[in-house]
Amino acid sequence: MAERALDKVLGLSLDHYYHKAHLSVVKSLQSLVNKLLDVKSRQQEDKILCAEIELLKERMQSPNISSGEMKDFLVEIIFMTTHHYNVSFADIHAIKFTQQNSMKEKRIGYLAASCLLSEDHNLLVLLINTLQKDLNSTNFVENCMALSTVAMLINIETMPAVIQIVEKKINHTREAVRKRAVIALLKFHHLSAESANLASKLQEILFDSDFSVLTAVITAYLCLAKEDPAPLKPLIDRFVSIQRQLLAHKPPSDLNYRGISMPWLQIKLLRLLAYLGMDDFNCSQKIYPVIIDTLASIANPNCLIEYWIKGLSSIVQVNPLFAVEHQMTVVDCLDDPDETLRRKTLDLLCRMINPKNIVFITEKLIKYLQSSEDNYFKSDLVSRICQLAEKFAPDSFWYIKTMNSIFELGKDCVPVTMVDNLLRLIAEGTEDEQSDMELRMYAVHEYFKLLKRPKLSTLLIRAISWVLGEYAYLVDSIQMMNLADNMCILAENVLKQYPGCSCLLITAIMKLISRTNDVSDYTHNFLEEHSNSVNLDVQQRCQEALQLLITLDINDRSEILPVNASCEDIEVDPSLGFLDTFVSNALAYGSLPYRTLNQRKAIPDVKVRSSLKFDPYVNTSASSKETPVEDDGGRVIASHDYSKPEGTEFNRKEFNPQDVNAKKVEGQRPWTKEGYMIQAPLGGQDIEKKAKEENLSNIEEPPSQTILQNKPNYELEEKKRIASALFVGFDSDDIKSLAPAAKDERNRVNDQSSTTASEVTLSAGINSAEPYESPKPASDLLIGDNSTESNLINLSIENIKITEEQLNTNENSRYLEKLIDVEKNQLLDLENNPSPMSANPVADRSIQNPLDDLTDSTISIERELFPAELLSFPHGNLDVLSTPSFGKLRIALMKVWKEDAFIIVLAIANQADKQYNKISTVLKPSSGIQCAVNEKKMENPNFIDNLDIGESVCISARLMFDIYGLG
Amino acid sequence: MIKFILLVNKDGQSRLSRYYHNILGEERENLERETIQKCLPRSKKECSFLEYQNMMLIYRRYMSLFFIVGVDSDENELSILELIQNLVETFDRYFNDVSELDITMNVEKAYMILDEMILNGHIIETSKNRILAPIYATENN
Repeated sequence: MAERALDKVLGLSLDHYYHKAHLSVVKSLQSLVNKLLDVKSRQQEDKILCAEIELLKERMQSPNISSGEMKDFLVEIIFMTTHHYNVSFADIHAIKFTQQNSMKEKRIGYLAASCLLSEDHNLLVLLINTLQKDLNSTNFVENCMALSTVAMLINIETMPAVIQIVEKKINHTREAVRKRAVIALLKFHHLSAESANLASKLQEILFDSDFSVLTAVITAYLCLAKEDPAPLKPLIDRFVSIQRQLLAHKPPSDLNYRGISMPWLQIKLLRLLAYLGMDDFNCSQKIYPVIIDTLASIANPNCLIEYWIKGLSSIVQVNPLFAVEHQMTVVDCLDDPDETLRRKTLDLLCRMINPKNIVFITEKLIKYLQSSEDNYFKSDLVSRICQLAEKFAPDSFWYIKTMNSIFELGKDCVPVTMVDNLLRLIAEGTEDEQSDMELRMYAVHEYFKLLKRPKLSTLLIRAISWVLGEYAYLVDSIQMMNLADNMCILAENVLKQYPGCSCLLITAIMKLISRTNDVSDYTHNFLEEHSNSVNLDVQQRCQEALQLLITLDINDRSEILPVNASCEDIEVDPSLGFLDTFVSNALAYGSLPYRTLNQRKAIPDVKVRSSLKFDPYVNTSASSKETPVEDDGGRVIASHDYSKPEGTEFNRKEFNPQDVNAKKVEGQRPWTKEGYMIQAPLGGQDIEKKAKEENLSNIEEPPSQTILQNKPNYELEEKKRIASALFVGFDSDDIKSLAPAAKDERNRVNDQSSTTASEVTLSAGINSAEPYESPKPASDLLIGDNSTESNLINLSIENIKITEEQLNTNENSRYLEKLIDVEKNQLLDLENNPSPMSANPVADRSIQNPLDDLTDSTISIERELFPAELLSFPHGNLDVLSTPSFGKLRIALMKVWKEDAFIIVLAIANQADKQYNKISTVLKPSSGIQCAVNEKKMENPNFIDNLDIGESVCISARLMFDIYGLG
Repeated sequence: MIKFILLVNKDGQSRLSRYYHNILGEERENLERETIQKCLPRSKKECSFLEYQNMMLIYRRYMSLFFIVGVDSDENELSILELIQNLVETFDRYFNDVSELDITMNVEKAYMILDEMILNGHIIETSKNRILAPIYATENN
C-alpha cells in the first residue's frame, strides 16, 4: 500500500540526503541544519542554536539588509519557533515583512507572524493595517493570506477593524477566498456570537457550487448545531442533498480520497445530521434514507476497511444479521497485523455478543487482554468483558472461571468491586440450595488449585482467601491443616508487598481455626511471629487468631466465626446493655451521668466556649451597640464583647472608638485586594481616617449577576471573588443606614464604623479633611486640586494605568476591563433596583446622590466627548472609566484605527461644580515604538493645568504604523 | 476541531508544530513534552489513539518521523488518522520522495502546505492538487 512505500522514503537516512533541484532551500537554514546533524548532545545543540539566535538578532536589526536576506532570516526564525527559544525580537520584523509587495515574501511574513504572534500578543494591533489593506486588495492571493491570518490571530479587540471586510469576502469569486472567509467568520462567532451573525452569513453560501467551500460551511454549521440545533432544522433538506451529491460522486474526481468522495466532509455531514435528528422523529425520518444509502456504500469491504468495521459495529446494534454476511472478513480482521483494526473488530464482537457465542467471544477477548500492554485499552476491555459476562453468562461455573482469568490478567485495571460482586454471587447464591452448594464446592476447588501458584494478583488473593476461609470445610478432600499452612506461606510471601492481602489471609486462617482443632506448628509459629509485626493490622489479626486458639475451645470459637453465616444479618444491641454494670460502677464512684447532645447544648459551659466566633453577625446591624445581642446559642452577650479582636467577621456597626485594639484589627485589613493597602501599622489618631477611606469601597451594592455575554466565565468568577472581597459582611441595611447622611459626593468619605463619628466626617466636606500623608500613589493618572483631594481619588483609580499595557491586550488591560465591568454591572444593578438611598424618604432629593447620578451616564454621553472625525474610523468599544470614585469627572477610553496610525484617545470631562487642577496623564507605549501625544512630541506626564466646570479635554496617543521609519 | 499538529522525529526533536488554540510558553512546552513522552515509546502493536487531558491524541509513525495530532471530542479519530496519511502523501508529492530532512530544511514549505489543508483547526482542503496549486503559484510568481 501507499503507506508502506512512504515508510521507506520517509525513513531515508539523513546522510543520504541529496539536494533536490526543484526546491530552493534557504542556504543559511541549510548550513544550520547541517551543523545540527553532527551534534552529539543536547547541550551542544543548545549552544549552536543560541549562537545562531544572537547572530540573527544582530543581523536583523542592522539597517541595510535586503528583503531577500530578511526573508531568509525569517525562515530561520520559523525553524527556531519549533525549538522553544525566545525569538520575540523578530516579532516586529515579521509584522513589517507582511507589507512586502512580492507574494513570496509577503507569504513568509504572514507565516512568520502566525508562528510568532498569538491572540493576545501586544503587537497584534500593528498588523491590522496591513490586514485591512490585503483584505481589500484585488489580488485574491493577498486576500487568502490575510483571511488565514485573521482566522488564526484576530482577537475580540481587533475584530471590529476587519469584520465588515471579511463578511463581504464570502461572496468572492474565488473558492479559496470564500472558504477562508467562512472559517474567519466562525472564529468571529467564537469570539463574540452576537456581533458575528454567523448563521445568516452561512445561509448566503449554503448553495455554493464548490465542495471545498461547503466543507468550511458544514464545519461552521456543525459548531452552530452543537450550540443549538433547533434553528438549523429547516436546512435539513439541503444537508441531505449535499450528502446525496457526495454519494453520487458529484464533486470532481480530484476531491476523491481512496475512491470515496470527500470522506471528511461526509463524516462532518453525518455528524451534523445526527445533531439535527436527535430526539426529533420528523427530522430523523428525513435523514433515514440517506443514512441507509451511505451504509450501503460503505458496507463494501473494498472500501477502507477501518471505516467499514466501525460502520459495521454500529449497524450490528440495529440488525445483527447484517454482520453475518461478512463473518469471514471479521475473522480475518481479528488476526490482522494492524492493531487499530483488531481493536475495532473487538469492538464489533462486543456488540455482536449473545448467549450463544459468549463463550467463544470472551475467550478471544481474554486472549487480547493477555497480549495487550496498553493500560488504557486494558481497563476498557476489562469493564466490557465484565459487563458482558454478567449479562450473558451461561452458568455460574463459567462466570467464576472467566472472572478468575480477568483477575489474573487484568491486574491493576480491574476495579475491586468486581471481586466483591463475584463473592456476593458465591455467598448469596440462588434459591436452589443444592446448586449453590455445588457452586461453592466448585469455587473452593478452583481456588485451592490457584493457591499453589507461585504468583497471584492481589485480586485473586482477595477472592481466594475469602472463599477458602468460608467454604473450605465443604470439600472433604482438602485437609484444613494443609490448607492453613499453604495460606501461611502465601501470607508470608506477600506480606512485604501487599500487607493488606496478608491480613485477608490471616482472617481466612482464623476462620479455619474456628472449625478445626488440628493446627500445625507451622501455622502456630507463623501467628506468633507476626503478632509483633510492624504492621498494626497484621499484628491485631494475629493476636486475635492466637487468642481464639489458646483461650477458647472449638465450640466457642464457632460462635465467634459461625459457619456459612456471611449472609446473615449481624445483630447489634443498640442499647449497649452489656455495659450496664460498668456504668453503674462508674456512677457509684462519682462520675457525671451521661448527657445527650441536646442536654449538652442546652447547658452552656462558659469556660468551654471557643474564644473565636465564626458566624457573621448578619442581622445585628439594625440594633444599636448598646442593645444586648443574642447569639445563636441563646446566650446573652454584652455588646462590648464584639470589640474584642475575636471575630473573623468584624462588624463595623459594633466599632468601639475607645478600643484601639479593635481598630487595629480592622485597620490591618486591606479594603480591596488589588487596591489600597495599608502599609504601616497605624497609631490611634490615624484610625478614623483609615476607616473613612475603607468606606470608599463600601458604598457600592454587591454586583449583580448580569455579565457581558462575550466575557469568558472565569472573569465572572474572578469578579465574584473580587466583589465578595469588597463587600464582605455587608447587606442592604448597612447602606440604608447611610442614606440620611448623604449630602454630596464627598459623603462617601463618611465613617460607618460608629454613628457619631460618621456624622462628624460628613459635615466636614471637601477640604475639612486634614492634610494626610498617604503612601505614594502608584497611579499614573493623578487628578486633584490639593493633596487631600488627590488622595481620595487616587485610592480608586490606582489601578488604572494608561500605559503600554492598555494600548495592547495583555493581562493588565484585561484586568482593567474587569474593573470596568464590575463598575458597569453595578450601574446596571442600580438601574434595575433603585438604590435604597433614593427609596429612603429621609434622603434629601435636591442633593444628587452620586450613585443616582451615575445611573444617568450612558455610553452615548461619553461618546460625545470624542471628536466626531475620529469616530468615523474603525474604532473599538468605548471603555467608560468613570467610576463613582472619580465623582463627577467622566473618563473614557477608546481605540481608533486610522489608515496610518493606531490612536488611543482618553477623554476627560469635568461635570462637577468645581474646578480640577493639575491633572496629569501618562500614556506610555512600548519602548521602540514612536508615539506622539496630541500631535506633539511625547511628553510625560502630560499636564492639564485646570479643567473648568463643564469643560472636557481629549488626550490622544498616536502610534504610527510607519514602522519603517524606525531606526 | 484540531487542537495542534506536531511532527517529531524518533529522538523526540520537534520538526514542525502548529497550535490552533491559544497556548503559549511553558504550557506549550509541557504539552509538547508530555505528548512526545506518551506517543514515542508506544510499540507498533499499540493503538494509534490515546486520551490525554481533554484531548484525543492520534499519531502515526513513518519510520523516523511521528505525526501527532491532538483533537477535541468533535473529531472522528479515524478520519484524522487518514488526514495524516493524506498530509504525508501531499508532502511526498511536493518534495518528491519526502524525507525528514526535506521537512526540516524546507520547514516554511511544510507549514504552507499544512496551512492550505487546515485553517485554525478546521479541515479546509483535502485534494492534493488543490493544496499544492497555490504553493506552486506563489513560487513561480
